Amino acid sequence: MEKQILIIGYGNTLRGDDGVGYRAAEMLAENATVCAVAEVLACRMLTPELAEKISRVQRVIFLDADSRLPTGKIEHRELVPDYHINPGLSHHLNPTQLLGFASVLYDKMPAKAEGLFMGATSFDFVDCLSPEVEAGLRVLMGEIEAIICNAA
Amino acid sequence: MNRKIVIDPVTRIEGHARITIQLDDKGNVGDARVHVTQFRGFEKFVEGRPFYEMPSLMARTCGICPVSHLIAASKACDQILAVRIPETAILLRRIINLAQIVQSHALNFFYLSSPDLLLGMDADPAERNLFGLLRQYPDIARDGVRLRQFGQQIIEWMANKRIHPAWVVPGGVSSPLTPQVRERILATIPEARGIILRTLDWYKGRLGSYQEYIRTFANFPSMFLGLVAPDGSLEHYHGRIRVVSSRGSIIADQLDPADYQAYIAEAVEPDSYLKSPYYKPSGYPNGMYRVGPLARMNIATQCGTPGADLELAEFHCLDLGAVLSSFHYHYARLIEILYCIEQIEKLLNDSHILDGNVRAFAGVNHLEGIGVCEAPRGTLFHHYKVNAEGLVQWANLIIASGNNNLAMNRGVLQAAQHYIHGSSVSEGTLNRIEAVIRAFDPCLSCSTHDDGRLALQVQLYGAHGELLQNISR
Repeated sequence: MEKQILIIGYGNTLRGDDGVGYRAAEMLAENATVCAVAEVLACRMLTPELAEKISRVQRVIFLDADSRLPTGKIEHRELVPDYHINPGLSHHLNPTQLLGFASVLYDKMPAKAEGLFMGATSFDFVDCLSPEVEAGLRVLMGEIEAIICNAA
Repeated sequence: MNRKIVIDPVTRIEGHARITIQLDDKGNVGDARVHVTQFRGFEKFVEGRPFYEMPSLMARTCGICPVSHLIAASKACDQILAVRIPETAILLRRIINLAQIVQSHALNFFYLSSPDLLLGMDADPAERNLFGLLRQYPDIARDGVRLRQFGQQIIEWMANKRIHPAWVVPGGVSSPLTPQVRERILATIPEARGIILRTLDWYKGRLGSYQEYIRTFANFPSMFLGLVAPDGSLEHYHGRIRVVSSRGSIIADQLDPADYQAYIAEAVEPDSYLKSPYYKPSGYPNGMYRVGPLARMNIATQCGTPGADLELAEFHCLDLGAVLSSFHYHYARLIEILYCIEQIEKLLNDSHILDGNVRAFAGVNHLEGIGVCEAPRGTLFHHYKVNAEGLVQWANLIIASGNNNLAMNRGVLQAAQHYIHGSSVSEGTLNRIEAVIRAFDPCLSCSTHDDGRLALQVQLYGAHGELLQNISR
């Protein structure tokens, strides 16, 4: 039976803290507790084909960096679909646009869509996280495990 | 009083361009030009870098067709190494190149061009995009997503990364294909084939409604150029250059790509960063030629796969001689997608596809390397000169889309002369001019960052430079 929770961690691992979502997903993919109930995807960007997967689950959780938050701070947000989409779609979507895409294309959406965003300020051309974000990653893992345990 | 119309930026293309249309005092189009407005500088900043970095560096030229640059760059490096790469590596490089052509063509056809083709050139710009397509033609939109996913997945499964993968390297590829990945790819072939066959069906069914565009979108005699196999078949990875006239007769055949400077020269115009390659024996600008899917369908004797060959035969019925209208790039793109899918399946069933020997190793044995392949948009040339330590001293690139620069300019002029009369210019008219560019599917850079709010501004200037009218959308 398909798992009903989808976790998508995304970001550019060659741009410092932008890779926190991707790295979080990589770690979650090794977590047996999480993987027992959730499918975990590590993506470098959100692409239209993810819409089909999203349309088939009850809950989707996005993980990403956010430059507007203080470094290391984690914000948990409910997400609603956005139906304004860039005409080219040649590079990337954001989570709300992807939800809108899923809704229009497959006429289905998860009952619950949310994002866990970690504050980040270092987006240099490096393939590692800043110490603050690295430390915050462990907290993020704990929050996700708590979400998964509550959902189970 | 002369007037000038400026379309800036051109929307739903890869990269940035501006179109300038000059009206005469009767309101008829006197001239039109396409200006490529971004400067990249790759040919200069790679100087001093080790040659083996070229594939990874050059892949960053583009986010849509990085595999083409990886392949052309690696082939140039193969020459510097003076190696003959293992046969299995050639098969694998072919597969990943074909996968990229599928995803790139799918992007242009479904995401960039279908809004015009299905919703109409005059549709409300707020709806004339992928979301509009999703609402009115969800099945076709889903097909587009799945087909692009097919190509990108193959790249990711083979090379571990769908954009800027590092798997194609000088001497071959960095790792062999596993049986699991092979089976995974083969399992996706039937769906992809189904999608392209039904896409061809509906597209051919609508051709009658596109007659005005067929007549007016860069429809003129020109040469066509590209790679062919020794027997004249369609070829994307290796082969030799063939040049064909507008009548379909072969002007030059089996030219060595490494001798490209003997038959291709590049002109520079002051109003664009895009160079203008031309066929040298015919001089400039008479040596204009076209490359890409339309050219490849015109120069190839056959595709070499059953379904694509049937489609090619039907395609050739469109015109006597070569098919000339650039609107038919869309049709040619679809045939190529079918060919790529069929060819990927054939290559995956080759008895050597899982062999472990996939890379040749050597040092610097030649101080010059030229790598040529067919990118989605046309023939791509990478030419490097290195010193004895292998550091790049000089580089020249002829980018696929650059080959089409002269033809794009002429096409925009032709469309502008047909659609623009007087000072009243509708939004739909501007979109038609842009659609001529879109048919060529130029990859002017990888830096498309449109966010759905791109403003198109058209300014009409009088003969003395005074602003007469300002139109925005």
